[in-house]
Amino acid sequence: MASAGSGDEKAAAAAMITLISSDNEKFEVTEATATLSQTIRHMIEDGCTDGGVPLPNVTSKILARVIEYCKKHATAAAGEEGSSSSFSDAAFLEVDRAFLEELEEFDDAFLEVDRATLFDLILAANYLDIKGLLNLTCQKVADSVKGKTPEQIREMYNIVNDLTPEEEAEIRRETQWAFE
Amino acid sequence: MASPTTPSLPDELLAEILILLPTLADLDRACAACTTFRRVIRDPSFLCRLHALHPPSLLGFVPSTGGFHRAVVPRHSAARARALAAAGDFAFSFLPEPGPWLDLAAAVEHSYQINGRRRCDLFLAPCGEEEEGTQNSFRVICNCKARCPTKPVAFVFSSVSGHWQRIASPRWSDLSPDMASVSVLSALFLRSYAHGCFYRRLLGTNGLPNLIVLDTTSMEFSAISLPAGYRISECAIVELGENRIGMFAADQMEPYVLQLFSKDRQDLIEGAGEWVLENQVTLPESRNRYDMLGVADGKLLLLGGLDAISSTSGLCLMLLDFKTSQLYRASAKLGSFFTLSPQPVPYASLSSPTV
Repeated sequence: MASAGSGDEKAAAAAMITLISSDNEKFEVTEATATLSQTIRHMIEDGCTDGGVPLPNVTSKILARVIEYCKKHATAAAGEEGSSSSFSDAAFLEVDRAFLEELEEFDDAFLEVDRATLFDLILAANYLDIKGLLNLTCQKVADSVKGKTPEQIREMYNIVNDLTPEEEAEIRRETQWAFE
Repeated sequence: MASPTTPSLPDELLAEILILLPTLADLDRACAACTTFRRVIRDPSFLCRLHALHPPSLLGFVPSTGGFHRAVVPRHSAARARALAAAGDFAFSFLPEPGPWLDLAAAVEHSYQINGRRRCDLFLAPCGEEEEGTQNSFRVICNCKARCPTKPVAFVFSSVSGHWQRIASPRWSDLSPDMASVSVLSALFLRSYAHGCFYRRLLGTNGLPNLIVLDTTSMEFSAISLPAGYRISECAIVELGENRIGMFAADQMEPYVLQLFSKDRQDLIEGAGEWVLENQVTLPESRNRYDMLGVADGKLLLLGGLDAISSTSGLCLMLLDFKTSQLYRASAKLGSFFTLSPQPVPYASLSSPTV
């Protein structure tokens, strides 16, 4: 099992990609980190990453967080590749439990953000097509909505109730069981 | 979800979040939050995904006399059953006026009517894959129970094309040698739906029962044989995982013993392999015999005598759990006998029974 440090060193020898945020900040990342994004992976495959990859939908603040996520998870994947000839489900099962726990702790800490940032991360994960990050962030929102009343959901996410009183009454009548 | 502090998410992403909500109650509450949530949750494609994740549970029965009878179900489902009974339109006022979808059925029924008895069986089927339709499109199949000396007769109506078509059906003798000279079909029995096919048992002239299958993809009839060595009086077909078909069956000799047989789907289609006896449950004896009505919640739905589970007499609906061999009461005592059909909700009635 490769440590986080040796994983980074190994990756450092690989090609570097420059990502450019909407506010024109440049981020140098390894190809292993960048290709967690399917969008960027396709760009690399098409050979259109020379001179950097402009990401007009992602601010530097969000991009920095996304890269932080990708680095950690790319290290996990690299550690995997180091410990077996090919990345397979079987190999995945053998991953050191402690390392998985560490990754889980990282994810939990990573999600400790305000709601606006969480939504920005969802949008960025969707745009960059990073499945793991999208699942993680969507699950966080779903968990926060779970068991809440419509009023609590509105308050939490600053949602304006634009249902007419009649519409709301109808929904409540049809779904009354959910409020018992 | 527009607000100064929260960026708004497009509907596709809201759907990805809402689909992760663990219970249907969570979704119903979210639905009442705002029009955006309501739009996403009530979108047919979202509902399709939702129904796949949350298989429908048995909430009640719709007798042919109309109305809605709540099932005796766990507490959380009981609240849903109450809500459904209050909000559902069981007068079926949402059905279109008798139009093309009923015309032919009525005509067929008229021409095949025998002794003034209803001889047509109308049922809903999912839309064919080759047809471009919305998620709400459907087909209506009209199967004639009439005297059909040479072949099975059925018609299918597509909500996409708006037309009736006759299903090309081979002769009985081509379907199975056991049905070589079917002169009278006494009755067509319980219809089951599994893996995109409708199954129905019928009797050949030699008294040997066969299963007739209507594949809703190819719209073709075929016949399959029942387990050898049994005189099966009743059966219902269920899905047993991806590749196996299950069959609840009652033997004429032992009406209180129910068996669960299984067979590989491919073998079934090719007429190969044998049915395997998976489980056997002996029901308590009752003054009334048990009638199989179908499968719901992975349990076999039976109409039987109340005295089987309590000392009172009368009929009641019961659920038999084959895994635990337990018999549950599914509804209150029925005052008089009436025909019950599953809920008319297309998603519910078209979902395949599984065990």
